[in-house]
Amino acid sequence: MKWLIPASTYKIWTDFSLKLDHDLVLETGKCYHLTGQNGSGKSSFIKQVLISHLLKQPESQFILYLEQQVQSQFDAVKANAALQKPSVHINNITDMFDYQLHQLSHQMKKEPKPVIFILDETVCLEQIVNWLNKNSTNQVCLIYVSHLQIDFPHFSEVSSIAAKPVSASLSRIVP
Amino acid sequence: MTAFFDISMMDTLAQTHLICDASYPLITSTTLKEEAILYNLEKESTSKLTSDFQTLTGKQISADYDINDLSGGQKVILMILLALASPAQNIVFVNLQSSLDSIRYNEINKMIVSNRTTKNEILIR
Repeated sequence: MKWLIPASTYKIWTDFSLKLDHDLVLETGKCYHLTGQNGSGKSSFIKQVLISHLLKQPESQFILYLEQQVQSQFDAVKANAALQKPSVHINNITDMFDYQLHQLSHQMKKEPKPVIFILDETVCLEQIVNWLNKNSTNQVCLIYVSHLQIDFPHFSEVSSIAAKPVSASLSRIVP
Repeated sequence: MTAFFDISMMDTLAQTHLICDASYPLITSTTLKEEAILYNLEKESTSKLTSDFQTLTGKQISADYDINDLSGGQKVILMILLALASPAQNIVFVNLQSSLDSIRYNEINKMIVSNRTTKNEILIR
């Protein structure tokens, strides 16, 4: 499966925009490393361009998004688990990942669909790697943000996408 | 790949040290003014802090600046500057390298080294 994010200047806040000069194509079976200095707009690109694009057709894929500085997401997942699966106890980030990956596997068994993993400076990657070991990555697209290079041997090809500041109010997203 | 730090060791350190983990920055979602109160900063330290912050990020923040508007990495930089300017004598920094770009990381490292003389102990994990 391919996702196409159209070339455009995306307004993020009143005083900051992200510019895509060309259409950006993401594909299953591939891994993408999103790079850029602090404050260049990596997380903004993920939240306000990529995810909002994916949510225009929420039925066509599963999205597993792990936020940067995951504390508020942790509280949200914990609350969700308390309602959906009261028997599951989520006490730390490891439990949260386990729960999310378990839910994902469960949904995929019911209804196979492409999956897009979005990891924004995720610290604890062991469980993600284990999940990728156990599942075919043909139907998985992985996008990660990190200042370090991370090795995901499950994907033969890793492409870079860079967030490059042009000024304080504009960054370019360059594949 | 970054591993989680040893939790039991951190528990012990937490009794004597201020722990600053970049994956969960000790930053509330309020204004810089309130942040400075929480870290027990003196007035003079706050103006040095904002000028250091501007040097590192190119961003000028006033006392009423909403911390929520910072990027994830900028929050980490602010946490580090607050910790260094605070009266805390023992500090542990964790996971800095995964949250900071290489330029910022090197600058911060220099800053931490130069603060080693004014503090009792600064550890980097």
